[in-house]
Amino acid sequence: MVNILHSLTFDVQQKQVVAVVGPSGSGKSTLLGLLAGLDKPTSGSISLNGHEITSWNEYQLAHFRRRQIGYIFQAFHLIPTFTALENVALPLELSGEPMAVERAQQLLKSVGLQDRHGHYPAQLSGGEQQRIAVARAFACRPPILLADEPTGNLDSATGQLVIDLLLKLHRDHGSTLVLVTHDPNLAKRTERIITLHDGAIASDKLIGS
Amino acid sequence: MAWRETRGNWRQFIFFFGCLAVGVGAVVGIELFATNVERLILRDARSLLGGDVEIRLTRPLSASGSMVVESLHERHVDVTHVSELAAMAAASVAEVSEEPKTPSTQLVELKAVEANYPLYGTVEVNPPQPLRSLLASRETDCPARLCFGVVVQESLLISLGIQLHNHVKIGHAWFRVTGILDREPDRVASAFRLGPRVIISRQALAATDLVKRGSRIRERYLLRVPESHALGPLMEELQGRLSKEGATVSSYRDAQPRIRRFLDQLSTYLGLIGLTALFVGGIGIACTVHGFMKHKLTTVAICKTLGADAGFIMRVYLLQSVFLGCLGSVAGVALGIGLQRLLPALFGELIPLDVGSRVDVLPLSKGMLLGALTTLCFVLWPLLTIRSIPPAIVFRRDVDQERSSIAAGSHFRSMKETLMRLVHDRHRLGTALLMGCGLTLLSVWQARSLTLGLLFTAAFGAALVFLQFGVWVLLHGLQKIPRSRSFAVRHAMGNVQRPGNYTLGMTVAIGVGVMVVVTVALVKSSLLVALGERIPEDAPTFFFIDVQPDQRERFERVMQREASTAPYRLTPVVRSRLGAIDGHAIHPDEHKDKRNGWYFTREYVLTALSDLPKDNRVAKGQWWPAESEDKQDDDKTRNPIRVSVEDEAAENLGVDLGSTLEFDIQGTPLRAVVESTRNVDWGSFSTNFFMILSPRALDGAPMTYIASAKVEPEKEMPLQRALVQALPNVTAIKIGDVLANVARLLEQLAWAIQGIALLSMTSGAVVMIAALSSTRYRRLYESAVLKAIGGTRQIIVKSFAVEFALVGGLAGLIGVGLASALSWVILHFFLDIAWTVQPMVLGWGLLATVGIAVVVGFLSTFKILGEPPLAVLRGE
Repeated sequence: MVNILHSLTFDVQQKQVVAVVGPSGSGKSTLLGLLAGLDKPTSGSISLNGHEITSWNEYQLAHFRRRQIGYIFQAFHLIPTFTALENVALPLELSGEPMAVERAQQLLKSVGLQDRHGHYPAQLSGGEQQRIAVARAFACRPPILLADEPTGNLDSATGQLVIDLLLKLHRDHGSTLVLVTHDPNLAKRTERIITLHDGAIASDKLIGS
Repeated sequence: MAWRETRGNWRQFIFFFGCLAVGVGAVVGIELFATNVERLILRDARSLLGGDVEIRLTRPLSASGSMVVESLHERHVDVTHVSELAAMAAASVAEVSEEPKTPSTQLVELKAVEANYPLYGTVEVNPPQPLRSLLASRETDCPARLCFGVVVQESLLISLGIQLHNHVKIGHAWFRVTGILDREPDRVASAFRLGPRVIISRQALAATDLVKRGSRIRERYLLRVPESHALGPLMEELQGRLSKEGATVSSYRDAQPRIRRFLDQLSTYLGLIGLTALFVGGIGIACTVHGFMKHKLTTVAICKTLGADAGFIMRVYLLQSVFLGCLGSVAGVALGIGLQRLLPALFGELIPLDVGSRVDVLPLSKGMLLGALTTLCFVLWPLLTIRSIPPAIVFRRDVDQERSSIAAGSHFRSMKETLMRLVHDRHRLGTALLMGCGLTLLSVWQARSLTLGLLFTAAFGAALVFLQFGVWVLLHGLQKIPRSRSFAVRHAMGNVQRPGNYTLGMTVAIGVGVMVVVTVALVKSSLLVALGERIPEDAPTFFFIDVQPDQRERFERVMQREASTAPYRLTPVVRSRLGAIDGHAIHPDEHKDKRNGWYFTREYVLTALSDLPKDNRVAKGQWWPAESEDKQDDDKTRNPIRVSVEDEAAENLGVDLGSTLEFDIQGTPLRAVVESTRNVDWGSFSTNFFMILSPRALDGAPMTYIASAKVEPEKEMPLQRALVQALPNVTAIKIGDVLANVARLLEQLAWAIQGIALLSMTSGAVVMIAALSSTRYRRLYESAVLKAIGGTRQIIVKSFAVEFALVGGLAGLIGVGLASALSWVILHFFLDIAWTVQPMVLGWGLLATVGIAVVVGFLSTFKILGEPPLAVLRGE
């Protein structure tokens, strides 16, 4: 067994924007997966928004993610058989939101893709797909937003656009944002940079302090 | 390279094996079973016939005939005489165990044998004692002065409510049940019977006083001929010397031709059902190879960049596929060996033989070859994609045809594109033709008949086309439906319509299985409905046979006393054989094996009537006018006797108005001129005849009466009891029992065929598993995405359930639709029976398919549900 993360303790304030950086294999994505409850730590504990999630079962975690967490992936991970609108509406539907479609339409508008609501992922560009993924992540107004290399699969111009959007939506919704990135320019736009090295925190700096 | 590819991907080929193994197993199992039955019949031919030679008659031998048989002893030929007839058995009141103690009666099939019976084989009796001692007479412990031993089938004890060592009365004689009959050597086709078998001695038969002039009886003389004697000349001699007796002489070499023909046909049709399972498996193989090739895009592209041409790469994968086909066939052969052990149980009393489970090389080799060739035929098509894989794919990873073609167009467009590609691409067209020819040859080989093989291929091809078309239409219909608000339904519908989901392959494979199983069920149900509905309201419930002329009054008295309101009709009959047509003598041997040859060789029950029976209609000529008896007397002296022939018999016998028929009535010839032909409604269940003679033509002939009566249900048993008591030689046949027997046989046959047909269904299920395994990664990925955004396992399960139910629903709907059409064709063209809608069968067929699809789907995908999402999403 390989310990990917160890001796790792940090707190994130509400509404803070945190970048997690570090070389490949340092455990950034693993950390994010643990925060989302997509994986379980072999030891230690994770508290999110006042909830100790470490001992929760799969069902509790799924319900928690639905309401409390928005997740943006590097590879977008949209459902290919769903239209753009249906992809955005999906978390709302899972939460039993009665106005799921209307809310999804608003979100599509906010990411500038209201005209593409009937398109399937395969008919959209990478940037458009990621904007759909961003809209999906914000759908349930989650207090915590996790983004794993959100610009990793995009060219720099499109990546910039997506980041602008992400930060704008973060401001509008007032959520806490933790993003993993390789991009130093993106990291500089956050409030705090945590650098991981070999599964441990090498540095934890507040920007501007 | 083929080996390296196989070694590295063996997990993916498990389903390849599975698809092939079920089909090959079905073919091998059926073939082995048929071979063993055939061998058994040939090996035990002597005991199945009862001797080297059998002389068979429908009346007792005359004195001169008996002398001929007697003379055989001088030539050291052993002879044993067996008489078979239907009779009534009555239990002793005191011994009936059930309350109320009423003397119950039962129709039995009586067999009277000599002490040296059987000449070959053994009679299996419980307790295992020599038959001779079990049948011996005794004077103690007997309701009468003398009791004979009797060996009976257990069902008689059950129906009479008595036990071993109790007593029964048959005719005028009393019997003590001394043994229970398990098996008699010379009774193979015992599936259809009027009643339980009862074996008695010949002395006992004489004591019953059942055999009277004109009685319905089958006399068999079984011969054991010394090896030094040639059978051919002896048979010819006997045929000649006994020709006047109306005897049929046959040898063990004819070895049960009717049973062999039945088994031959049964094994051919079951073999074709097995081939259906194999071809369905072929669809699964095509899906597996297609899925495999999708994973091999990079490998193929790399090979191409290194200089390998498409032909070389295709040969590599073809070699790999055939190698795997051979391995899968080996698994199938093993499965077939296991299956053949189960088949005797499936057939039950239809084939009451101890078939054994010897394994022959020939059926195994055939199975292997069929498996390998089927593989070859079905992998050609998916391997064609190798040609169109561009080497540049190595440098570009953005080509994902599956995704890009979602929502690209309607299924009709893709159908049209496929057709256009087929027409314009020489290689595709050539491959399609090669596959078609290959599958046709395999069908012809399996069917052992060019016509049947071609018909099978055409039917299979048509079923595939209809299924494909049906799936396309239904998927197109699904596209038109407004998208559901439910996530599970929308996701499932999206998956079903997604290219690369193998929905078509799965539905076609399952649909074929459903079609076969439901067709059998529909034909069976329609036959049973026809059996029940065809009996008219006024049809008789009883037939009484062998009422002697001097018993007529007593019979009428009993009827009057026991069922005074029941309408009944007594008809005089004589038994005869057809001796000549228009002066040309009929030789039974010439017609023995011909289609409808039985019209020449059968026994004809003749009657003489003045009025046309009510369910008859004159087809040709005219019915003789009702005239006074004096006039008829005049006619008889002036004119020849006239006969009215049933129209189908006339057609098969080749007789027309004015033809002369010569009947042999127990040795006495009777010549009659055909005056009319009749159309007979045999379904009326009235007493009907092939041949009706003009009035008084049978005066002086050895007549008996048959009677039919419609009796109220509560009076049936008392009437039967009273008749057995008053007229012990009269046999009462209950129509309801006979029909129940036919229905039971039909059920048994349908059960056996359905058992085999289920293998096609199993094959379809394996194909579904194979197809789902090809989409495993995609499902895993989407489940992970759903989990990441808050989807629970239940939501994913719901979505999968809807998807599998949709696949099952599509397959079931088209399968039962095709089964309805196919069963209509079978019933209308082959059985001449009206097709009736069977909502229960169709409904159950559809529901069961949905259920099976959901269960199979879950069994193939449940592991996905527990996979942690993070690793999947990170592409680990």
